[in-house]
Amino acid sequence: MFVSFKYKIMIAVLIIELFFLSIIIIYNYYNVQKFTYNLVDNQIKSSVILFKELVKTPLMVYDLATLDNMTERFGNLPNIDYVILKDDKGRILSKFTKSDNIKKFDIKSSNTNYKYIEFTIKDERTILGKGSVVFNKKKANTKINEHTKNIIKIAILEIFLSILVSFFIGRLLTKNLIILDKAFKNVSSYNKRIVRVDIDSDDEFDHLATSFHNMQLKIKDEIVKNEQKEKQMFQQSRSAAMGEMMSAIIHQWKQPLNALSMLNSGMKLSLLVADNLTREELSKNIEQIEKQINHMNTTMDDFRDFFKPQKLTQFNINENIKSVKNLIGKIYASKNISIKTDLQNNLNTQGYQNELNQVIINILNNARDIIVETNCEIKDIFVKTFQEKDKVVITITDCAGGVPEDIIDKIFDPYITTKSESKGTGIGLDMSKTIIKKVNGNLTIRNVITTINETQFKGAQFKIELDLV
Amino acid sequence: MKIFIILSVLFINIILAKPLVFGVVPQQSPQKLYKAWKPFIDFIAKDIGVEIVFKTEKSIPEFEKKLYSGAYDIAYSNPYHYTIVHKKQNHNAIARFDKQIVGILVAKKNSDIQSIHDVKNKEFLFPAPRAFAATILTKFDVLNKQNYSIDKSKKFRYVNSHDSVYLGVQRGIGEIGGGIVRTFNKFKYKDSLKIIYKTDKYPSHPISIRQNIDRDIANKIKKSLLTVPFKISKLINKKSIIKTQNNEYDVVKELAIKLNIFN
Repeated sequence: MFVSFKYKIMIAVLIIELFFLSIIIIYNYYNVQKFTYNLVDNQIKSSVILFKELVKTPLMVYDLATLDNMTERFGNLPNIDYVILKDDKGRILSKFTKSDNIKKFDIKSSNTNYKYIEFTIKDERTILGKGSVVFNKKKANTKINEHTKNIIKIAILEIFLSILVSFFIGRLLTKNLIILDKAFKNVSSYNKRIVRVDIDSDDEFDHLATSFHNMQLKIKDEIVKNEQKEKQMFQQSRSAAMGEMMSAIIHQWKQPLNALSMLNSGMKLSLLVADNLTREELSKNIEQIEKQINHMNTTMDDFRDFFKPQKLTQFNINENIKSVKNLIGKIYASKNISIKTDLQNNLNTQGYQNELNQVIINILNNARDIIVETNCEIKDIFVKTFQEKDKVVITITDCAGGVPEDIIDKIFDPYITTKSESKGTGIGLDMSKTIIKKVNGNLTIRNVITTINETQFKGAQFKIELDLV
Repeated sequence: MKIFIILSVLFINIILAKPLVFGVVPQQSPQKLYKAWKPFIDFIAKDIGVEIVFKTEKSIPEFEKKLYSGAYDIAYSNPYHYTIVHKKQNHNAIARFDKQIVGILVAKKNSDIQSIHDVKNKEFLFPAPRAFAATILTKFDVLNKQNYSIDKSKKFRYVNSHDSVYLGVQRGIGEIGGGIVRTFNKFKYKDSLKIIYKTDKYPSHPISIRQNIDRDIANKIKKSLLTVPFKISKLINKKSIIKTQNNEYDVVKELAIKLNIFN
């Protein structure tokens, strides 16, 4: 999932802020609580000390009116809810209750909102009486909570401001990154145009833009070099193919040439020895000679067509298979290699027919070479055409052991070959893939098991997929 | 020459004349007393043409000490105080508010004590040793009518104020308390108490004057006291001021003698 750098900064700032602010709030809450409770405790202690002094005299003489007055005044202090005074015999002399809540719980029980204190009133060593006070910490707690709420409000404001600031910082930073990203996309879309990155800041981004510009120049340079190299390689491959074709033609011509030579020798011998070459025989020989010459012409035409640049046309792929088989079938047969076809009718596609021929020959030659190299048991190459959804498919399968698994994924990379150095250039399959891709097709390879006479043989299977029209 | 001498004497008299001191028994806080008595004293001072200053003390014992030592030219004190200051400083009673004092004894409403006949060996509470109605009158009547000396029994406690007496009885600190009707009626929890005995009536607090004050001025004061407008006197007491004389308080003197406190 793509998340903008800008938002990542915001999220990072938010997380850091939340972390530290939480610590600050918790720390502050406990400190304020401690401080406030200490303050209240000190207040309580001072109040009790003062109260004890004030009630001493009226307590001595049981001046209950004065004690009531003092108890009420003391009890009316903000944090005090309950005061009781008893004499040394435990008799209640004066009592003051402010809050009704005090009745709802045992005043001696500990409670976060109340604090219970007992004290003794002495005159020198004589115990005059005893007292109890319940202090209400609610106000203190309310103040602590209010304080905490204020801190939280400030924290929220702080977070909001931080997000805002981080948003603008992020935008400032990503502004240049977005420019660079666009430039990179432009380059990656194989646009050969040099993209000028306009970053108006004297910092790392400016350096990055300059480096990027230099990189583009180098890439362009490399692309041009690669293209040249590719062309060269393509040409080499084409030349190799032509060489193969030449061998095929030579092989194809061998038989008619022999036939012509034999016809010629026969006619020569008839003229020299018997001088009895009849008109019928001559006519028959001429017909044979014409037939052989026609056959040679056809071979030449096939060869010429094979390398003649063509326009984009619709064609039946079975024609390609037949044409290729016709061209190279015999030379393969000379090496005991048989091309076995299983062709489905009406498989039309659109593309460059000759280039597809070249691909098929490349793959077949590949299979032939490996069959020869491994001298495998099954020397058949199975070519099958069929329709698969909206595609026409050609599979070319051999039984020569397959491609090693460690290189099968790289087989279409340039300069990767399974053949010996003398035979393979490593360009053929790369070029084949390029040709197929050019017409929106796909070329893949996998190892398959083929069962022949109940025996299983492992081999490589190339699959060409083309658009059905 | 004669005129000169008269003027000089007058001048010297004016220069050396000390203001008269009007002492008031501290039954309430000094602030309250000042508010109530200042207009009263100012009226008399203006009426007789002599400066009179208001004076009170922090406590009754302090007041008694000052009163008996002759610190006040004019005094408003309780009847018992008067009998003593009459003896010690020749103070003469000249006026009093038109009312009579009655002491009461109170007990808890639900207690078994029903009357003065049930007071023996009970724990008593009184406001102060010399509180006339609440202490002296009640002690006297108990002694006189029940032949029971509270002082000798030593089962009593002075708790400083009438309210403390009532509160003490209500909260069980004492079983019987001495007080007066007026303060009892104002007591917040009076419903929890009952009056078990009322004393005889006695003349109320007198305003007394020292005998050695200029007779002319003393007469003027006597007259002036009886002319104080009600709107001024009511700040102190809702009753009007009437004339009195020393013998009206002989009954109090007898009572003090019987209680052995006439000293």
